[in-house]
Amino acid sequence: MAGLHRFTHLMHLLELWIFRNPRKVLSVIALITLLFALRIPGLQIVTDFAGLLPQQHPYIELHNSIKDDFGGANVLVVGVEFAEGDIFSNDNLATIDRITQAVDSLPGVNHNLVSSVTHRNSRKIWLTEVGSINSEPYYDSTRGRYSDEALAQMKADVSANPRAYGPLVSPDFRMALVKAQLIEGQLDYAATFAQLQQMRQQESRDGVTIYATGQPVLVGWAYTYMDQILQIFIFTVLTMLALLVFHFRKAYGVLIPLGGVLISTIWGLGIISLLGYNLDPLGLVIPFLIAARAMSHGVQLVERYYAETRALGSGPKAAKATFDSLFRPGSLGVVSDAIGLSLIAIGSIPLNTHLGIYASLWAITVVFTVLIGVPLLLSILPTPKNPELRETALRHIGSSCSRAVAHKGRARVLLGSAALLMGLGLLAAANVQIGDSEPGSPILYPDHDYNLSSRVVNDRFPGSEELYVIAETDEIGGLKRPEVLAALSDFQAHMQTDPEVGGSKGLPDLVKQVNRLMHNDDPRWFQIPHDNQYVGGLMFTYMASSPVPGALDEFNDTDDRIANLVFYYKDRQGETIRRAIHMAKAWIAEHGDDVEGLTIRLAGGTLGVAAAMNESAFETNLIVLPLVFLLIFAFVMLFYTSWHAGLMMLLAMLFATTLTYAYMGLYGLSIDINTVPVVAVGIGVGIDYSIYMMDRIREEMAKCGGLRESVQRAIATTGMAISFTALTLMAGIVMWVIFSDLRFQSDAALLLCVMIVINGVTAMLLVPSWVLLFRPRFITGVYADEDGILHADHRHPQSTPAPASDPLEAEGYVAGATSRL
Amino acid sequence: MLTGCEAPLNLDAVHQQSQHAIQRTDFYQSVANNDNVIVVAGNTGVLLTRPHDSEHWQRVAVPTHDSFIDLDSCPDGSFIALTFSNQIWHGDANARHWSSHDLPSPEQMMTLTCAPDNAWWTAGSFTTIQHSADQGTSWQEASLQEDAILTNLQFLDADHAIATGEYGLLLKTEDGGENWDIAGYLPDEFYPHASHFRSAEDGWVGGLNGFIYHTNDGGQSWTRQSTDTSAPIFGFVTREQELLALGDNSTVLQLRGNQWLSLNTPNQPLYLRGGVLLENRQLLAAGGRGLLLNLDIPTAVLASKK
Repeated sequence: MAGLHRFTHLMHLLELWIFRNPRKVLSVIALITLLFALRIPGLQIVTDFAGLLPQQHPYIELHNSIKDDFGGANVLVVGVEFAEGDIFSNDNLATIDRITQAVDSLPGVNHNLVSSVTHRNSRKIWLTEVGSINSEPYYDSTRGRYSDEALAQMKADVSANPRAYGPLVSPDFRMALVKAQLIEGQLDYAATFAQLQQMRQQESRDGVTIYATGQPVLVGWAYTYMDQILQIFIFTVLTMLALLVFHFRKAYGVLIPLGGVLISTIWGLGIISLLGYNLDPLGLVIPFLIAARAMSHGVQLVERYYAETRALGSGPKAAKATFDSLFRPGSLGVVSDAIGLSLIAIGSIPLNTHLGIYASLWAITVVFTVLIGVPLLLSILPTPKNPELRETALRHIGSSCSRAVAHKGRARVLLGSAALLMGLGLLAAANVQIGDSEPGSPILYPDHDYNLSSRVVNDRFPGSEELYVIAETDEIGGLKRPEVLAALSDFQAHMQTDPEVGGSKGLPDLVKQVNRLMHNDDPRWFQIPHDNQYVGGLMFTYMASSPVPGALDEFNDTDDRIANLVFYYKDRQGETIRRAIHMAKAWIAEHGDDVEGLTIRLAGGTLGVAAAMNESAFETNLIVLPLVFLLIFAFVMLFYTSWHAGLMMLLAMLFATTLTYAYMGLYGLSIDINTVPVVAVGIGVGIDYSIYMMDRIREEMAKCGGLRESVQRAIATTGMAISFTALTLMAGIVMWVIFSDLRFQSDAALLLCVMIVINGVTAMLLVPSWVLLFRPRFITGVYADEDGILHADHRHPQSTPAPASDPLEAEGYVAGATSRL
Repeated sequence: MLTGCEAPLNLDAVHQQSQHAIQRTDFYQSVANNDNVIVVAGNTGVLLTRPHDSEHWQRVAVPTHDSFIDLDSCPDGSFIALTFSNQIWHGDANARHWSSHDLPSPEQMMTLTCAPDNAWWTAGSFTTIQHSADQGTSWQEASLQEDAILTNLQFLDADHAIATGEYGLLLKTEDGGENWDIAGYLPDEFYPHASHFRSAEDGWVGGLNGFIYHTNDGGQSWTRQSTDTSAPIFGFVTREQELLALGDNSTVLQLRGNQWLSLNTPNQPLYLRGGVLLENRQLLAAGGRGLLLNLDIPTAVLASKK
């Protein structure tokens, strides 16, 4: 304990030095601000797709190793739907062909992996009269107009090809898909998307609807909302300004908190740029929240400054007093924010790792830019002539709450209700799922063009979401072994016992189909041959039948060692993915070792990538939330040297988190790589209020000695601060709820608002109730040491010298209060 | 709890699906029946059975993943099935218990039939014909030394049998299979996917492009009968005077006089290869991707028959 005392004493000396040299310290802050400001022009606002993926996850490692051969997650899907008649008319086929060409010429498209019924890769394969295999594209735009008979024949030919009829042409023949794989790393999402949208506009006409879906389209849409960021930013600044004017109507009150935000934002952005990271437009809510946090600290400081000025009559003294009483709880709050933010970095998503690192550093800067900077600035500014603050409705919230927690009986009722609410909350929280809970993308609203497109494509086609499973053999040509093909075929059949699987594509089907074709189309020959050479012959025959190279590329690598099995699913909801992966793992567990030298590896494609993201969101959540709880618990426990303090904060966090999950469960929000950070940050930010309340009760206790009175005074005085802080925070992010067309941002902001309210209520009502009912020793046994620092340890000598003449006692500055054990 | 639940693992639909006898990954090749049951055989060891008086199919668990490519019922009520790996599987009259017998020849067998004396006959590549009179214990093997695959084998009575094969081959025996001779050729080396003979003279073969040839002189001459489809013909189904042909794109043709007319079927791009015509004039036909078609055959045909 002596060590701790020495430490707090040293800190006190540092504080004294700082206040003796305000200009030096402020100049240093200004210099650092200038340096950071110079870094800002280099900051990029972009989404790095690879940064969204948990790179260490085995599925992503597999995805990375196969994406050049088989494509994967960056699939662009364009659907062309005809209201009248089917696709098999000259005009409609020409439309599909033009769209196919347009998609093929989009920037970043892998030209080997474009598929469409009119593309040269979609071919009719048949047996010639002399018994050799021939093939030609179903559609050839250079051929001129097709006769009705030729169109009818084309329709029959297409419907006989399971790789075209189903995956590329809808079962009712009225819709066709054009699919393209984009090359990761060479992408300019904005340019690709702009060109795509232009094409959609050009080709859309009465009776022809063009849909666009897939990851690149989603990112493209997200980029179109970049302009909204500016709009939201301006409205947020205006709201903050209005709030400050409404609350203070004083120059210091408006300008100083705003200045605090400005400086802390410059530091934050400078840090991002210095670390070489980019600002992700999808994750902007959290930076806004940190800025709002900076402002709320600034507001509290100015508010307290006015109160101290009223009592002390001197600006510099008031500034020092403000610093003395708010620096500790303020820093504790900042540290708890930073803990929540830094833990985001733990997950395996690089984007979140970056966010966690820069956001926690940014949050920490608030200590220097606001908690130290603002009081220092106030200490050198002239004393305000009229320090009286106007009464606003906010100032009454505290007194109402303090009446609500008037005695033990009420406290009991409040805690009982909270327990009941928590029980109900747990029930609702059980609905919270990992992964998307509805089709399309949760980033956008359900009626958004993208989600509408996804829904139509999902409804009309057996599966627009692809799961890739990779079969790897240990030798070149290993895929030709009949037992390998038989095992793959068995795996495909196993996966297809899931009725939700729309279909599958793989080398075994192709080999069987070519074998059948080679035997006059006899279904009895729809078999895997008996030996490797025969299989190799069939594969060669298929390749040779196609005048364009790479006919087998979508099935296997050029060494015939690695094959890609594709399974088509309707959507990538959490449940679908979980089942798909479970089914695959079940087969691998049972038959994975049956064939020597064959390894089945999971998982690529849009579904495999989503599975990896869900699994890592789940694992991250499993670590991050308990760690947030544990660290804040430990931190509070150490800071107050009381397990009871830690426990109280733990319970407050558990209560608030349960209700947050209940909210998520009720409104269908799911846990994914986007919401995990929001919840972690919400907990870190939210617990501040409870810490602040607890600290204030303790402070009041040291001053007046009566627990009930201390609790009531604490609520009455802190209530206003908490409500105003909560309001400021919500004002900082609420514009995302109102203006953002990106549902994710809006949901994240709304979720944070809900968390702020729940935490505010917890701090105002539950923490005081708990203190009143359980009388924690660290509060009831508090005393102040010679520096004015509060302690509650038993071993401390009772005879602490008290500078009784300290004039600040009346306004909450507790130096001189003696221990009341 | 507060770390969030994984999405529920809902396997109900999967379990429900796996209870079904018919799976979409099935590729049926042949159908046969006796007085008790109907049996469907297909790729990857699939055997389905159902009693005549039931609608419910059951999957028979046989210890093989080999593909059944042909199936027949014997006069003694038992069943025999041929696999792509040259095994004959023998099933009891209820098609519940099956045992396997290896064939001696390495040639690829493509078709099998049970003779009126319950002997097992099978034929395939290099014009190879094998038979066993003692339920698979011993086998006799013969070949015409022609490099052609025999695709169909049919006994008309104890002495007379007919086989058809690649390059338009038509083989006949008149001594119960002791000697086989080339009895004629199909036009243009036609590949006979399916053949059916009503007598030693009167027969049909079907194959690519929806072609069906008819002979009434035991294969000396053939005439192409009119069909209203270009889908390949893979099988014939008969009962009494009724003759039906099965083909690709779930095609079912009915012989009316000298022409074949398509019956209405769900237009699916799947083949039909085997079938039986039941007493109630219902056709049960089986094919690709778990396609089991029940089709009422119009009776008007009988009136139009000569």
